[in-house]
Amino acid sequence: MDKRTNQLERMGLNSARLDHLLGHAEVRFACREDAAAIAAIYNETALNGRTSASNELQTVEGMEYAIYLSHEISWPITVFMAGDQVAAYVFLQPFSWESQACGKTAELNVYIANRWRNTGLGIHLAGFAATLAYQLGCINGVCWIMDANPASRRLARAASCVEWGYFPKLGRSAGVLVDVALYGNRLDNFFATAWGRRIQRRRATARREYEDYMAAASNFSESQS
Amino acid sequence: MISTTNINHEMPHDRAYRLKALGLSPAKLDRLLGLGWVRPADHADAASLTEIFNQTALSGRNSPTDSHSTLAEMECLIQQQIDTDWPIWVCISHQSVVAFMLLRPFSWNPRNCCETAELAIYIDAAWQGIGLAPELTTLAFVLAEQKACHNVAIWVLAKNQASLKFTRKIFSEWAHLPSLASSAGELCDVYVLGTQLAQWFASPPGRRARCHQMEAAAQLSTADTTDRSPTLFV
Repeated sequence: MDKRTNQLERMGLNSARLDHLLGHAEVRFACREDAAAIAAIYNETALNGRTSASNELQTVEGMEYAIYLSHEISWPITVFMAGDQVAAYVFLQPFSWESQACGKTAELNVYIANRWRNTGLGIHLAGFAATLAYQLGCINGVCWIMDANPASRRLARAASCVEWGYFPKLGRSAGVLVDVALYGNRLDNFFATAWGRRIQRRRATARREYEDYMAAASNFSESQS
Repeated sequence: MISTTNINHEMPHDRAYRLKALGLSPAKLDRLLGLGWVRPADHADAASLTEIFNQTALSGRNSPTDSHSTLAEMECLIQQQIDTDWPIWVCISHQSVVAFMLLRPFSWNPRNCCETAELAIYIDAAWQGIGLAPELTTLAFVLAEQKACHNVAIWVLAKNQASLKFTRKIFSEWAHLPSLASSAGELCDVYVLGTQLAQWFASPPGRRARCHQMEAAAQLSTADTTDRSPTLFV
Protein backbone atom coordinates (compact mmCIF):
# COMPACT_ATOMS: atom_id res chain seq x y z
CA MET A 1 0.00 0.00 0.00
CA ASP A 2 1.55 3.35 -1.02
CA LYS A 3 1.56 6.44 1.17
CA ARG A 4 -1.47 8.08 -0.48
CA THR A 5 -3.55 4.92 -0.37
CA ASN A 6 -2.61 4.32 3.27
CA GLN A 7 -3.57 7.88 4.12
CA LEU A 8 -7.03 7.46 2.54
CA GLU A 9 -7.61 4.14 4.30
CA ARG A 10 -6.52 5.61 7.64
CA MET A 11 -9.33 8.13 7.15
CA GLY A 12 -11.69 5.17 6.76
CA LEU A 13 -12.04 5.61 3.00
CA ASN A 14 -12.07 2.76 0.49
CA SER A 15 -9.14 3.91 -1.63
CA ALA A 16 -9.80 1.49 -4.51
CA ARG A 17 -13.41 2.62 -4.91
CA LEU A 18 -12.47 6.27 -4.50
CA ASP A 19 -9.79 5.91 -7.20
CA HIS A 20 -12.34 4.18 -9.38
CA LEU A 21 -14.68 7.16 -8.98
CA LEU A 22 -12.23 10.03 -9.03
CA GLY A 23 -9.24 8.72 -10.97
CA HIS A 24 -6.37 9.68 -8.73
CA ALA A 25 -8.18 10.54 -5.48
CA GLU A 26 -6.72 12.77 -2.85
CA VAL A 27 -8.35 14.00 0.35
CA ARG A 28 -6.98 16.97 2.27
CA PHE A 29 -7.99 19.97 4.32
CA ALA A 30 -9.12 22.92 2.23
CA CYS A 31 -6.87 25.93 1.86
CA ARG A 32 -7.57 29.45 0.71
CA GLU A 33 -6.75 28.54 -2.89
CA ASP A 34 -9.66 26.08 -2.93
CA ALA A 35 -12.22 28.82 -2.20
CA ALA A 36 -13.14 29.48 -5.84
CA ALA A 37 -13.67 25.78 -6.60
CA ILE A 38 -15.67 25.21 -3.41
CA ALA A 39 -17.82 28.29 -4.05
CA ALA A 40 -18.45 27.06 -7.60
CA ILE A 41 -19.65 23.66 -6.30
CA TYR A 42 -21.92 25.34 -3.75
CA ASN A 43 -23.32 27.69 -6.38
CA GLU A 44 -24.18 24.86 -8.77
CA THR A 45 -27.16 24.03 -6.56
CA ALA A 46 -27.47 27.15 -4.37
CA LEU A 47 -30.58 28.47 -6.08
CA ASN A 48 -32.32 25.23 -7.01
CA GLY A 49 -34.41 25.38 -3.82
CA ARG A 50 -33.60 21.76 -2.96
CA THR A 51 -30.06 21.53 -1.67
CA SER A 52 -29.46 24.55 0.56
CA ALA A 53 -31.67 27.07 2.31
CA SER A 54 -30.09 29.74 0.20
CA ASN A 55 -31.26 32.78 -1.69
CA GLU A 56 -28.02 34.03 -3.11
CA LEU A 57 -24.80 32.76 -4.60
CA GLN A 58 -21.71 32.33 -2.47
CA THR A 59 -18.79 34.60 -3.25
CA VAL A 60 -15.17 33.48 -3.32
CA GLU A 61 -14.42 35.94 -0.50
CA GLY A 62 -17.26 34.48 1.55
CA MET A 63 -15.90 30.99 1.01
CA GLU A 64 -12.36 32.10 1.90
CA TYR A 65 -13.78 33.33 5.19
CA ALA A 66 -15.67 30.05 5.73
CA ILE A 67 -12.42 28.10 5.15
CA TYR A 68 -10.58 30.40 7.55
CA LEU A 69 -13.29 29.98 10.21
CA SER A 70 -13.33 26.20 9.79
CA HIS A 71 -9.58 26.12 10.54
CA GLU A 72 -10.04 28.53 13.44
CA ILE A 73 -12.48 26.19 15.21
CA SER A 74 -10.29 23.20 14.26
CA TRP A 75 -13.06 21.63 12.20
CA PRO A 76 -11.49 22.29 8.78
CA ILE A 77 -13.37 21.88 5.52
CA THR A 78 -12.07 18.80 3.68
CA VAL A 79 -11.83 18.60 -0.09
CA PHE A 80 -11.97 15.47 -2.23
CA MET A 81 -9.73 15.93 -5.23
CA ALA A 82 -10.00 14.17 -8.58
CA GLY A 83 -6.51 14.85 -9.90
CA ASP A 84 -6.19 18.62 -9.60
CA GLN A 85 -9.95 19.30 -9.50
CA VAL A 86 -12.09 19.66 -6.39
CA ALA A 87 -14.82 17.04 -6.88
CA ALA A 88 -16.54 17.43 -3.53
CA TYR A 89 -16.16 18.85 -0.07
CA VAL A 90 -17.24 17.99 3.44
CA PHE A 91 -17.65 20.43 6.24
CA LEU A 92 -18.65 19.93 9.82
CA GLN A 93 -19.85 22.53 12.27
CA PRO A 94 -21.04 22.48 15.86
CA PHE A 95 -24.81 22.31 16.25
CA SER A 96 -26.35 25.70 15.39
CA TRP A 97 -28.43 26.17 18.53
CA GLU A 98 -26.40 26.91 21.68
CA SER A 99 -23.21 25.71 19.98
CA GLN A 100 -21.22 25.79 23.18
CA ALA A 101 -23.57 23.49 25.07
CA CYS A 102 -24.29 21.36 22.00
CA GLY A 103 -20.69 21.05 20.78
CA LYS A 104 -20.81 17.25 21.00
CA THR A 105 -23.29 17.23 18.14
CA ALA A 106 -21.87 17.94 14.70
CA GLU A 107 -23.81 19.16 11.71
CA LEU A 108 -22.52 17.25 8.68
CA ASN A 109 -22.58 18.90 5.26
CA VAL A 110 -21.61 17.21 2.02
CA TYR A 111 -21.44 18.94 -1.38
CA ILE A 112 -20.58 17.19 -4.66
CA ALA A 113 -19.81 18.85 -7.98
CA ASN A 114 -22.40 18.17 -10.70
CA ARG A 115 -19.94 16.14 -12.71
CA TRP A 116 -19.54 13.57 -9.91
CA ARG A 117 -23.12 13.51 -8.69
CA ASN A 118 -25.01 10.19 -8.90
CA THR A 119 -21.77 8.25 -9.10
CA GLY A 120 -21.89 6.81 -5.57
CA LEU A 121 -19.41 9.34 -4.19
CA GLY A 122 -21.94 10.59 -1.59
CA ILE A 123 -21.80 7.39 0.43
CA HIS A 124 -18.01 7.71 0.81
CA LEU A 125 -18.35 11.35 1.86
CA ALA A 126 -21.05 10.51 4.41
CA GLY A 127 -18.90 7.77 5.95
CA PHE A 128 -15.94 10.14 6.00
CA ALA A 129 -18.00 12.91 7.65
CA ALA A 130 -19.14 10.51 10.38
CA THR A 131 -15.55 9.32 10.93
CA LEU A 132 -14.28 12.88 11.16
CA ALA A 133 -17.02 13.84 13.64
CA TYR A 134 -16.15 10.80 15.75
CA GLN A 135 -12.46 11.75 15.72
CA LEU A 136 -13.42 15.26 16.84
CA GLY A 137 -15.04 13.74 19.92
CA CYS A 138 -18.65 14.20 18.84
CA ILE A 139 -21.43 11.97 20.13
CA ASN A 140 -24.09 12.75 17.54
CA GLY A 141 -24.06 13.56 13.85
CA VAL A 142 -26.97 15.45 12.31
CA CYS A 143 -27.85 16.87 8.94
CA TRP A 144 -30.46 19.41 7.94
CA ILE A 145 -32.11 18.26 4.73
CA MET A 146 -34.55 20.14 2.57
CA ASP A 147 -37.81 18.27 2.15
CA ALA A 148 -37.43 18.46 -1.63
CA ASN A 149 -34.10 16.63 -1.55
CA PRO A 150 -34.94 12.89 -1.58
CA ALA A 151 -31.40 11.90 -2.56
CA SER A 152 -29.96 13.38 0.63
CA ARG A 153 -32.71 11.76 2.70
CA ARG A 154 -31.82 8.37 1.21
CA LEU A 155 -28.17 8.96 1.98
CA ALA A 156 -28.95 9.93 5.58
CA ARG A 157 -31.11 6.85 6.05
CA ALA A 158 -28.38 4.65 4.54
CA ALA A 159 -26.07 6.04 7.23
CA SER A 160 -28.63 4.78 9.80
CA CYS A 161 -29.80 8.32 10.58
CA VAL A 162 -33.42 8.77 11.56
CA GLU A 163 -35.66 11.78 11.30
CA TRP A 164 -35.29 13.66 14.56
CA GLY A 165 -37.47 16.54 13.51
CA TYR A 166 -39.49 18.15 10.76
CA PHE A 167 -39.72 21.93 10.47
CA PRO A 168 -42.56 23.18 8.26
CA LYS A 169 -41.92 26.35 6.24
CA LEU A 170 -38.74 26.89 8.22
CA GLY A 171 -36.82 29.02 5.77
CA ARG A 172 -36.75 30.50 2.34
CA SER A 173 -34.84 28.87 -0.48
CA ALA A 174 -34.75 30.37 -3.95
CA GLY A 175 -37.49 32.70 -2.76
CA VAL A 176 -39.88 29.94 -1.65
CA LEU A 177 -40.74 28.86 1.90
CA VAL A 178 -39.46 25.32 2.35
CA ASP A 179 -39.87 22.49 4.84
CA VAL A 180 -36.68 21.13 6.36
CA ALA A 181 -36.05 17.80 8.08
CA LEU A 182 -33.39 17.16 10.67
CA TYR A 183 -31.80 13.71 10.51
CA GLY A 184 -29.53 12.49 13.24
CA ASN A 185 -27.94 9.53 14.90
CA ARG A 186 -25.55 8.70 17.68
CA LEU A 187 -22.18 8.07 16.04
CA ASP A 188 -21.80 4.93 18.19
CA ASN A 189 -24.88 3.54 16.46
CA PHE A 190 -23.41 4.30 13.04
CA PHE A 191 -20.12 2.57 13.87
CA ALA A 192 -22.08 -0.48 15.08
CA THR A 193 -23.61 -0.96 11.60
CA ALA A 194 -21.91 -3.20 9.00
CA TRP A 195 -20.87 -0.06 7.12
CA GLY A 196 -19.43 1.58 10.22
CA ARG A 197 -17.60 -1.60 11.24
CA ARG A 198 -16.03 -1.84 7.76
CA ILE A 199 -14.76 1.73 8.14
CA GLN A 200 -13.30 0.97 11.57
CA ARG A 201 -11.60 -2.24 10.30
CA ARG A 202 -10.15 -0.37 7.33
CA ARG A 203 -8.78 2.34 9.59
CA ALA A 204 -7.28 -0.17 12.02
CA THR A 205 -5.57 -2.15 9.24
CA ALA A 206 -4.17 0.99 7.61
CA ARG A 207 -2.97 2.30 10.97
CA ARG A 208 -1.17 -0.98 11.71
CA GLU A 209 0.49 -0.90 8.30
CA TYR A 210 1.49 2.71 8.87
CA GLU A 211 2.96 1.95 12.30
CA ASP A 212 4.82 -1.08 10.92
CA TYR A 213 6.21 1.07 8.12
CA MET A 214 7.29 3.79 10.55
CA ALA A 215 8.94 1.21 12.82
CA ALA A 216 10.76 -0.33 9.86
CA ALA A 217 11.87 3.11 8.66
CA SER A 218 13.13 3.96 12.13
CA ASN A 219 15.07 0.64 12.39
CA PHE A 220 16.56 1.24 8.98
CA SER A 221 17.73 4.73 9.86
CA GLU A 222 19.22 3.47 13.14
CA SER A 223 21.08 0.69 11.32
CA GLN A 224 22.44 3.22 8.82
CA SER A 225 23.75 5.48 11.57
CA MET B 1 -38.39 40.19 43.68
CA ILE B 2 -35.68 41.75 41.55
CA SER B 3 -34.37 45.12 42.64
CA THR B 4 -34.54 47.65 39.88
CA THR B 5 -33.07 50.77 41.37
CA ASN B 6 -31.36 51.67 38.09
CA ILE B 7 -34.50 51.55 36.04
CA ASN B 8 -36.08 54.87 35.31
CA HIS B 9 -38.85 54.09 32.90
CA GLU B 10 -42.15 55.70 33.73
CA MET B 11 -45.43 54.12 32.67
CA PRO B 12 -46.82 56.10 29.74
CA HIS B 13 -50.17 57.78 30.20
CA ASP B 14 -51.61 55.73 27.34
CA ARG B 15 -50.42 52.43 28.81
CA ALA B 16 -53.70 50.60 28.20
CA TYR B 17 -53.81 51.64 24.57
CA ARG B 18 -50.23 50.52 24.00
CA LEU B 19 -50.76 47.16 25.67
CA LYS B 20 -53.83 46.54 23.52
CA ALA B 21 -51.87 47.43 20.41
CA LEU B 22 -49.49 44.64 21.40
CA GLY B 23 -52.39 42.19 21.62
CA LEU B 24 -52.43 42.20 25.44
CA SER B 25 -55.27 42.73 27.85
CA PRO B 26 -54.42 45.58 30.27
CA ALA B 27 -57.01 44.28 32.74
CA LYS B 28 -55.51 40.78 32.74
CA LEU B 29 -51.98 42.11 33.03
CA ASP B 30 -53.03 44.25 35.98
CA ARG B 31 -54.71 41.27 37.58
CA LEU B 32 -51.44 39.32 37.30
CA LEU B 33 -48.95 42.07 38.03
CA GLY B 34 -50.66 44.83 39.93
CA LEU B 35 -49.77 47.58 37.51
CA GLY B 36 -48.42 45.68 34.51
CA TRP B 37 -46.36 46.99 31.64
CA VAL B 38 -44.11 45.67 28.86
CA ARG B 39 -41.37 47.50 27.00
CA PRO B 40 -38.11 46.82 25.12
CA ALA B 41 -35.17 46.28 27.45
CA ASP B 42 -32.21 48.59 27.62
CA HIS B 43 -28.86 48.46 29.39
CA ALA B 44 -30.37 49.62 32.66
CA ASP B 45 -32.24 46.30 32.80
CA ALA B 46 -29.10 44.16 32.53
CA ALA B 47 -28.78 43.51 36.28
CA SER B 48 -32.40 42.42 36.62
CA LEU B 49 -32.20 40.19 33.57
CA THR B 50 -28.98 38.61 34.81
CA GLU B 51 -30.55 37.92 38.17
CA ILE B 52 -33.63 36.31 36.64
CA PHE B 53 -31.52 34.22 34.24
CA ASN B 54 -29.20 33.06 37.01
CA GLN B 55 -32.05 31.93 39.26
CA THR B 56 -32.34 28.80 37.11
CA ALA B 57 -29.06 28.80 35.18
CA LEU B 58 -27.50 25.90 37.06
CA SER B 59 -30.66 23.89 37.61
CA GLY B 60 -29.95 21.91 34.46
CA ARG B 61 -33.57 22.35 33.39
CA ASN B 62 -34.05 25.79 31.92
CA SER B 63 -30.96 26.70 29.95
CA PRO B 64 -28.19 24.65 28.35
CA THR B 65 -25.46 26.22 30.41
CA ASP B 66 -22.95 25.16 33.02
CA SER B 67 -22.28 28.61 34.46
CA HIS B 68 -23.96 31.77 35.63
CA SER B 69 -24.39 34.64 33.21
CA THR B 70 -22.43 37.78 34.01
CA LEU B 71 -23.67 41.34 33.86
CA ALA B 72 -21.31 42.02 30.95
CA GLU B 73 -22.67 39.03 29.02
CA MET B 74 -26.23 40.22 29.56
CA GLU B 75 -25.35 43.76 28.47
CA CYS B 76 -23.76 42.27 25.38
CA LEU B 77 -26.91 40.21 24.68
CA ILE B 78 -29.16 43.25 25.14
CA GLN B 79 -27.01 45.26 22.72
CA GLN B 80 -26.81 42.40 20.24
CA GLN B 81 -30.59 42.06 20.22
CA ILE B 82 -30.99 45.82 19.76
CA ASP B 83 -28.43 45.86 16.95
CA THR B 84 -30.20 43.06 15.10
CA ASP B 85 -33.56 44.81 15.59
CA TRP B 86 -34.93 42.01 17.78
CA PRO B 87 -34.89 43.77 21.18
CA ILE B 88 -35.46 41.85 24.39
CA TRP B 89 -38.81 42.75 26.01
CA VAL B 90 -39.22 43.08 29.74
CA CYS B 91 -42.37 42.62 31.74
CA ILE B 92 -42.80 45.09 34.57
CA SER B 93 -44.84 45.02 37.73
CA HIS B 94 -44.99 48.56 39.12
CA GLN B 95 -41.28 49.45 38.71
CA SER B 96 -39.79 45.96 38.85
CA VAL B 97 -38.73 43.63 36.03
CA VAL B 98 -40.48 40.32 36.68
CA ALA B 99 -39.84 38.54 33.37
CA PHE B 100 -38.22 38.93 30.02
CA MET B 101 -38.78 37.55 26.57
CA LEU B 102 -36.53 37.39 23.57
CA LEU B 103 -37.10 36.57 19.95
CA ARG B 104 -34.44 35.97 17.35
CA PRO B 105 -34.16 34.34 13.93
CA PHE B 106 -33.99 30.54 13.91
CA SER B 107 -30.51 29.34 14.88
CA TRP B 108 -29.89 27.19 11.84
CA ASN B 109 -29.20 29.33 8.77
CA PRO B 110 -30.63 32.51 10.40
CA ARG B 111 -30.15 34.55 7.26
CA ASN B 112 -32.59 32.44 5.28
CA CYS B 113 -34.73 31.20 8.18
CA CYS B 114 -35.49 34.61 9.70
CA GLU B 115 -39.18 34.08 8.98
CA THR B 116 -39.10 31.53 11.79
CA ALA B 117 -38.44 33.20 15.11
CA GLU B 118 -37.05 31.47 18.17
CA LEU B 119 -38.69 32.40 21.44
CA ALA B 120 -37.21 32.28 24.94
CA ILE B 121 -39.06 33.36 28.08
CA TYR B 122 -37.57 33.81 31.56
CA ILE B 123 -39.77 34.56 34.56
CA ASP B 124 -38.63 35.58 38.03
CA ALA B 125 -39.14 32.64 40.43
CA ALA B 126 -41.49 34.75 42.57
CA TRP B 127 -43.77 35.32 39.59
CA GLN B 128 -43.82 31.83 38.10
CA GLY B 129 -47.03 29.83 37.96
CA ILE B 130 -49.38 32.82 37.91
CA GLY B 131 -50.07 32.83 34.17
CA LEU B 132 -47.48 35.26 32.87
CA ALA B 133 -46.08 32.90 30.21
CA PRO B 134 -49.24 32.94 28.03
CA GLU B 135 -49.22 36.76 28.08
CA LEU B 136 -45.56 36.89 27.06
CA THR B 137 -46.22 34.29 24.37
CA THR B 138 -49.04 36.45 22.99
CA LEU B 139 -46.69 39.42 22.97
CA ALA B 140 -44.05 37.32 21.17
CA PHE B 141 -46.51 36.20 18.50
CA VAL B 142 -47.69 39.77 17.84
CA LEU B 143 -44.10 41.02 17.61
CA ALA B 144 -43.08 38.08 15.41
CA GLU B 145 -45.96 38.82 13.06
CA GLN B 146 -44.81 42.46 12.88
CA LYS B 147 -41.39 41.11 11.83
CA ALA B 148 -43.11 39.20 8.98
CA CYS B 149 -42.46 35.81 10.59
CA HIS B 150 -44.56 32.79 9.65
CA ASN B 151 -43.53 30.55 12.54
CA VAL B 152 -42.37 30.78 16.11
CA ALA B 153 -40.27 27.94 17.52
CA ILE B 154 -39.12 27.23 21.03
CA TRP B 155 -36.32 24.96 22.27
CA VAL B 156 -37.09 23.23 25.55
CA LEU B 157 -34.85 20.94 27.58
CA ALA B 158 -36.59 17.60 28.16
CA LYS B 159 -36.02 17.97 31.91
CA ASN B 160 -38.06 21.15 31.99
CA GLN B 161 -41.42 19.48 32.44
CA ALA B 162 -43.19 22.70 33.43
CA SER B 163 -42.17 24.42 30.20
CA LEU B 164 -43.01 21.36 28.13
CA LYS B 165 -46.44 21.13 29.70
CA PHE B 166 -47.13 24.78 28.94
CA THR B 167 -45.63 24.90 25.43
CA ARG B 168 -47.42 21.72 24.31
CA LYS B 169 -50.72 23.56 24.81
CA ILE B 170 -49.74 26.20 22.26
CA PHE B 171 -47.02 24.67 20.09
CA SER B 172 -46.77 21.34 18.30
CA GLU B 173 -43.72 19.13 18.56
CA TRP B 174 -41.33 19.60 15.65
CA ALA B 175 -38.31 17.68 16.86
CA HIS B 176 -36.91 15.52 19.62
CA LEU B 177 -33.13 15.67 19.76
CA PRO B 178 -31.61 13.02 22.04
CA SER B 179 -28.50 13.77 24.11
CA LEU B 180 -28.09 17.13 22.40
CA ALA B 181 -27.18 19.64 25.07
CA SER B 182 -24.79 19.62 27.96
CA SER B 183 -26.56 21.13 30.93
CA ALA B 184 -25.44 21.04 34.56
CA GLY B 185 -22.71 18.59 33.53
CA GLU B 186 -24.85 16.03 31.76
CA LEU B 187 -26.18 15.52 28.26
CA CYS B 188 -29.90 15.96 27.96
CA ASP B 189 -32.56 15.68 25.31
CA VAL B 190 -34.07 18.78 23.75
CA TYR B 191 -37.48 19.28 22.17
CA VAL B 192 -38.21 21.85 19.49
CA LEU B 193 -41.81 22.96 19.40
CA GLY B 194 -43.26 25.28 16.84
CA THR B 195 -46.40 26.99 15.71
CA GLN B 196 -47.53 28.68 12.54
CA LEU B 197 -48.65 32.20 13.36
CA ALA B 198 -51.57 32.13 10.93
CA GLN B 199 -52.97 29.10 12.79
CA TRP B 200 -52.44 30.68 16.19
CA PHE B 201 -54.16 33.92 15.19
CA ALA B 202 -57.14 31.81 14.09
CA SER B 203 -57.33 30.16 17.54
CA PRO B 204 -59.31 31.70 20.47
CA PRO B 205 -56.23 33.30 22.17
CA GLY B 206 -55.09 34.63 18.79
CA ARG B 207 -58.52 36.07 18.05
CA ARG B 208 -58.54 37.71 21.49
CA ALA B 209 -55.17 39.31 20.73
CA ARG B 210 -56.57 40.56 17.41
CA CYS B 211 -59.59 42.06 19.24
CA HIS B 212 -57.28 43.99 21.56
CA GLN B 213 -55.31 45.26 18.56
CA MET B 214 -58.50 46.29 16.80
CA GLU B 215 -59.71 48.14 19.92
CA ALA B 216 -56.38 50.00 19.99
CA ALA B 217 -56.67 50.81 16.29
CA ALA B 218 -60.23 52.13 16.84
CA GLN B 219 -59.00 54.22 19.76
CA LEU B 220 -56.20 55.57 17.57
CA SER B 221 -58.59 56.63 14.84
CA THR B 222 -60.84 58.55 17.23
CA ALA B 223 -58.24 60.15 19.49
CA ASP B 224 -55.47 62.67 19.27
CA THR B 225 -52.57 60.81 17.63
CA THR B 226 -49.71 63.13 18.45
CA ASP B 227 -47.64 60.68 20.48
CA ARG B 228 -49.38 57.42 19.62
CA SER B 229 -47.56 56.46 16.48
CA PRO B 230 -47.55 52.67 16.13
CA THR B 231 -43.81 52.79 15.57
CA LEU B 232 -43.40 53.67 19.26
CA PHE B 233 -44.02 50.15 20.34
CA VAL B 234 -42.62 48.14 17.43
